[in-house]
Amino acid sequence: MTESEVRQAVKDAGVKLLENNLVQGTWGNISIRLSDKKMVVTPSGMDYIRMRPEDTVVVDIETLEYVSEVKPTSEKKIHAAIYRDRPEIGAVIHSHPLWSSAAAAARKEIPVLCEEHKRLLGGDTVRAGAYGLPGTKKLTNGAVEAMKDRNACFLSNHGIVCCAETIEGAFEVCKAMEENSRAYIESVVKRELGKDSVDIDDIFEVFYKRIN
Amino acid sequence: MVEQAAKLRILDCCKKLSEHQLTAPGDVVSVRAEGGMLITNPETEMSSITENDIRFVGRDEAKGTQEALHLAIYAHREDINAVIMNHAPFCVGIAKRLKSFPATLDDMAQIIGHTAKVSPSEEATDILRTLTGRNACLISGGGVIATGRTLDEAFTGSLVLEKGALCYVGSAIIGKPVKIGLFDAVLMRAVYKLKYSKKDQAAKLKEEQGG
Repeated sequence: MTESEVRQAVKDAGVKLLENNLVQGTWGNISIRLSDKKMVVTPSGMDYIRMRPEDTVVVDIETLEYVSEVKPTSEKKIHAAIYRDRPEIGAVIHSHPLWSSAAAAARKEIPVLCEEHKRLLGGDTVRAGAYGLPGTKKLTNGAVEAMKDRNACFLSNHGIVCCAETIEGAFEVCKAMEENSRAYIESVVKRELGKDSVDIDDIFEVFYKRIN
Repeated sequence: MVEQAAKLRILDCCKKLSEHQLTAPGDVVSVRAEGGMLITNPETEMSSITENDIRFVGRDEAKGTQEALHLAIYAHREDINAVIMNHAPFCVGIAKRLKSFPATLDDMAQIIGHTAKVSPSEEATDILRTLTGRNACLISGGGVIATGRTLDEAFTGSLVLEKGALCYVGSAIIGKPVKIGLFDAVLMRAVYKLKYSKKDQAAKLKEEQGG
């Protein structure tokens, strides 16, 4: 793909994340590898509808330097670290889907429940990276460590990171993370209440027991 | 022209709230307008609202407690230009039993604050007190008030608050919710308000005001 095609693909992926409720507002960020040394990332603090392809920023994977009046996402370090660590990876999405974020809030490694999700996520479990403030080395290192031999991880109290060879693949990994996280939380409720299916009232029944 | 543009943005917001299944009958959306506010008709469901369901209410022309509440929020908080009342399901579930819930995610700490509090009643004085230093609150046995510098920010606040509620509930079910520390939460909120979103929100406010 040319640089302008990659910029457009980053913009389109952002809109797709919003449309699928996998991110809210300006939160989350996306990158696509442009070459061995460069990546195209989303800008900082701009929502995906307002964002134009030319607002995306080309960033050096090694030095994090960029030539643009638009500031790149503050999470560019995580994206660059994954590209440096994983040469086969061509796209990274950092997002905040609802149910995945609940697992991230518990800072817990959770099992992957179905075979298709194991294939997409790259293992039997999803790990949680160490907690760190946005943009910090601690958050970056925690994500890279938790992503070892996996295509996704939770970022403690923050969200998720997903990667794949293509942006379409990374989006599928995001969807799998959300589906698996929801299925796992609901499986706990089903087991506790002895039900085959659950609704929000069942979820709150278990929650109220937890907080009492 | 300005009023027409604002009405279209309200309609878009109502549609999105409905699509995200955050609403119940009686919910309303309002935006600050010159001399008062534009507000939706609580008797029309969000999914069915048209321009005819949005009316201008002057500062001293409130009919009923809901309009009076919205005007009171605009009068007491100069930073607020939009108010959304909704019934997001996880927020409603929490508001039945708790007096507050903590931010377990950084986006909630940034947009909503370190905790989301539950107003003890629908009275304007209780809600204004509960909203002090915050952009949103829950109402005991009721729904949610989400506010913002722009309608877009109030909508995002509604989504983030509901996500924060779901995450608190979900993380308690599978383990233990880990709260964001107070220092980190205050730092992140300051960065969000003063730096991260300022340019974007200023541009959106200009758009929403027809600039």
